[in-house]
Amino acid sequence: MNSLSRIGTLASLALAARLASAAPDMVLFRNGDLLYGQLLAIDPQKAVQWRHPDAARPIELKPESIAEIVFPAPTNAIAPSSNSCRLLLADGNCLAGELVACDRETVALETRYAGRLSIPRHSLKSLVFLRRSPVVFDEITGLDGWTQAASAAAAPGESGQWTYRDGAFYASKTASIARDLKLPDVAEIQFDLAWKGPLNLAIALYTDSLRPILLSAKDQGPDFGGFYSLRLDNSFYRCIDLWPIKKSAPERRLGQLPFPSLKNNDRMHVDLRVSKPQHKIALSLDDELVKEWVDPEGFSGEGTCMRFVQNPGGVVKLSHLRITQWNGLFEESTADETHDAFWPEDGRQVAGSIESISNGKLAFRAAHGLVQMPLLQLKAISFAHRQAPPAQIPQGTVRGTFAQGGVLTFVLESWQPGQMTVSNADFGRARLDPAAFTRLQFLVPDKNAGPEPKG
Amino acid sequence: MRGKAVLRRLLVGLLSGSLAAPAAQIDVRSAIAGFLGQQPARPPAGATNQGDLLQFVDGSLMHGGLISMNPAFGLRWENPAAIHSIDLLPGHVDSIRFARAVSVTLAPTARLRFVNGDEVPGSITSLRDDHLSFSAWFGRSPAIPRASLQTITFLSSNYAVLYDGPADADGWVIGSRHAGSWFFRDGAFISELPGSLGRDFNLSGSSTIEFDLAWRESFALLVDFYCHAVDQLDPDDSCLLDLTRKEISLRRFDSSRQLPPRNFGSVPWPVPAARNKARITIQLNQEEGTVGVWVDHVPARRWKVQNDSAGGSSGPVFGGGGGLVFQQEGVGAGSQVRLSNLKISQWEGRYEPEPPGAMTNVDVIRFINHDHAAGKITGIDGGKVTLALGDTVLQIPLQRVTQINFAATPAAASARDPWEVRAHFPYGGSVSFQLQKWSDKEVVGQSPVFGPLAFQPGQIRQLDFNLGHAPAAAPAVSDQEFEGLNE
Repeated sequence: MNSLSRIGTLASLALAARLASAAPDMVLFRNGDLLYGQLLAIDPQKAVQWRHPDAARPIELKPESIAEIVFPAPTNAIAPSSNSCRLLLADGNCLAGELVACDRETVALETRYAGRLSIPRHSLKSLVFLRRSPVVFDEITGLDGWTQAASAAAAPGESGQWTYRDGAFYASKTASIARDLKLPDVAEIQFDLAWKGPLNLAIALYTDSLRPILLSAKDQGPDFGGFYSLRLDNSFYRCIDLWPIKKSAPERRLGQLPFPSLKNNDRMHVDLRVSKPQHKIALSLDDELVKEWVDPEGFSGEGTCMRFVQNPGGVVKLSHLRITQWNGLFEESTADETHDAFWPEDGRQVAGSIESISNGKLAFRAAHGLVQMPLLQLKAISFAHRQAPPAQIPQGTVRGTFAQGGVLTFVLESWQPGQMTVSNADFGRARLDPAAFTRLQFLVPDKNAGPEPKG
Repeated sequence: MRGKAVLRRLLVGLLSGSLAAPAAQIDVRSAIAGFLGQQPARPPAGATNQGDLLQFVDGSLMHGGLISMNPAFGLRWENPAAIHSIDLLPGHVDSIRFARAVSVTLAPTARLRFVNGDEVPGSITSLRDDHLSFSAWFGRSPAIPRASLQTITFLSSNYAVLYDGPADADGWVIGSRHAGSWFFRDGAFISELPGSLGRDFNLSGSSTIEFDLAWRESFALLVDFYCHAVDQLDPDDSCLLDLTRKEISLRRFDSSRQLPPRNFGSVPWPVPAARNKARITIQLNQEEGTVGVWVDHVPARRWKVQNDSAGGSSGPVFGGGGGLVFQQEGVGAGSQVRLSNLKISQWEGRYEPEPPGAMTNVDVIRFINHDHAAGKITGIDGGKVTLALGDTVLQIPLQRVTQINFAATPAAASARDPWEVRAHFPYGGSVSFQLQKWSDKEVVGQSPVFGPLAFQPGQIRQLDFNLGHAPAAAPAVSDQEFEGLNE
């Protein structure tokens, strides 16, 4: 089988798989219209071919009328290996792959979606290694092991129970559910929330009590160890708040933030990164860092349990609870953009100049001489770089969002099931696997921009 | 410090798997969120969005224009984003909403609600041998089988529909305090910011205000009726109905007559938390001095607001003006309120046209004094309805009847053809029929109730397809996710 027919067969198989997929693609137009269906092909000079279940023939859409195309997220996540990393480029692009090598001119990244990419050093901003973190808790599988209790603040007859269904807990009345999740000192806590009606949820972190604490009468009630209460309220106070709670201690708040606008208004992905040694808790919603709290009085959490308390409001769904040990990387850098820097596992920063990366080792010239360090002992690298001026947006520019995280801006030359051809100022022309992307945003070109980027 | 913050953000972004994409050229996040929730978002800047609107059962939608429609070949749709016109079969089409429709003119004496969901204003002549003789605005129909009827609502002689829309924003006043708080899109007014939306309807006498209310997150909607000002709430002379996700309450302010504010009490919001839309009906009965609220055709509460403390004051019950104002109050981040299918009718006397009641296994007659009687209706003739109560037969003058609810009859479930459509007419109710022909001059169809039908296409505001198929939530926001929860 020659390569051309093999590509054709692969494309046919990819198309068949996409058409058989239950979840449809979605095209969003610049005027706000949207259609579900399947993307068949893109020729940016001519048309976007779209299949709709009611249309006998593919619909040909004008590329300039399209704002973005969204694909269903793949269900099979790829486990990171020892050299897996994300590269952040100075222009805002963010690429995932395996770090292969680095010299004074380029960094080589082996990717699943584009093969080996060679990227100029001066285009790079930073690199973070993605290592498999020890999992402490993974997924809600039922009520076993959890302790339910009546909400301490519920009026008589108002208290309910959390119920379990299909990997999720639901509460439609005030209810408390808790478990000793053995929270580590440095932890990443992730979960998904969805709700109907007002969201009014209190989450106790690092508590030692499986029963809810009535805060207004905490000093008169049973003893409990200190904990943090994270409040998510999109209705009455419309804010997110973090309170350190201790017996016989006055009320304290670490600072609230207005409830943010979200990608979807009835669900969000919550990611908490906690570092006991640094007395810090960082909150990301839908992958955006929204708040970092530092407790000036030291870490207040004295237990290893979590408790979810639904307060009067709507219906809430809690799912995909996952707790992992975390590398504790908050902000170890002075972010000196004129020098390279790296962070070993112990968290200290080493500044200097990167000579090379090869054979799994980093060669680094520091103030006290040449340092060699296995990549396995590194958490992150920052590259000296210049602030990139705002890039012009040429005709046909598309921003792709990777299913596994990260974004890449490129000029799209063609899109077929199984293969898309793009060009990019940093690595030139490349063939990418379309399945790597969940979203393609069609950017409006600058009026004076040329048709192609340099590269 | 700035460098620190930048790198911290970058590192956390890198670790969390993705970076926030820079702002796109249109607010696509808002648009996606809005549309996935099946509540259209604020039109993107520069979007024209003119023309008809084609909606699919999966929640997707496309503006443009209907070129032709034929049961043999499907429908041909023109869309400015498509290079060629699009030929579609109606298998997944939910509706077409036409940008323009001519109102029908009529002076109905009754409104019929059918078991299949149709609702037609017209005049009743008689009910004999289980068949109703009825004249609709589109012509005198053959005898209508009694089994197809759900409700007959009798209208007072001076009943008039003042408004049936919105078809556009003409005539409406958006309060200047928060300009842009309300906007019109695709047959609905949408609010994402606090603000008022008002219009002077020259309300007088008694009236019925009906509308579909849909919301995202929380809402606090004030309805001020019979008000003087329509660009804001009138704190001096207003009767305010307060709708929130918690309760419905009624207040009256009348400082012009130096009366203290009165709170008439509240009733819990009856819509389950998992739902985000409801049909609201407000009955404003001047003669009885009452405000009645129905939610999804179920009575929520009736308040007596006649101001007894006024010491015999003969001022207006609700307010002295003729306007109506919707004020969206407590809009939080991501909240949205949507008003559509607004219908305002006016009537006099005690002849309050109640919303259709739920069907039971007996016929029910509702009277002017809000009493009701259940039995078997054997006929309507000569201005009287005959009701059998066991061995007793009552002849009741129609002047004393406000509504007849017919007993439910078992209906055979049948597969519905996608070309079985329901047409909605401004001021003319809705009629379903098997579409046979659609041209730019005539729409022809066959109804199991009315027989052969013919309309002008310009009379139709909306055409529904796949009548047996409830519009589905879009895949990303699934109501099914919360279905069946019952603690």
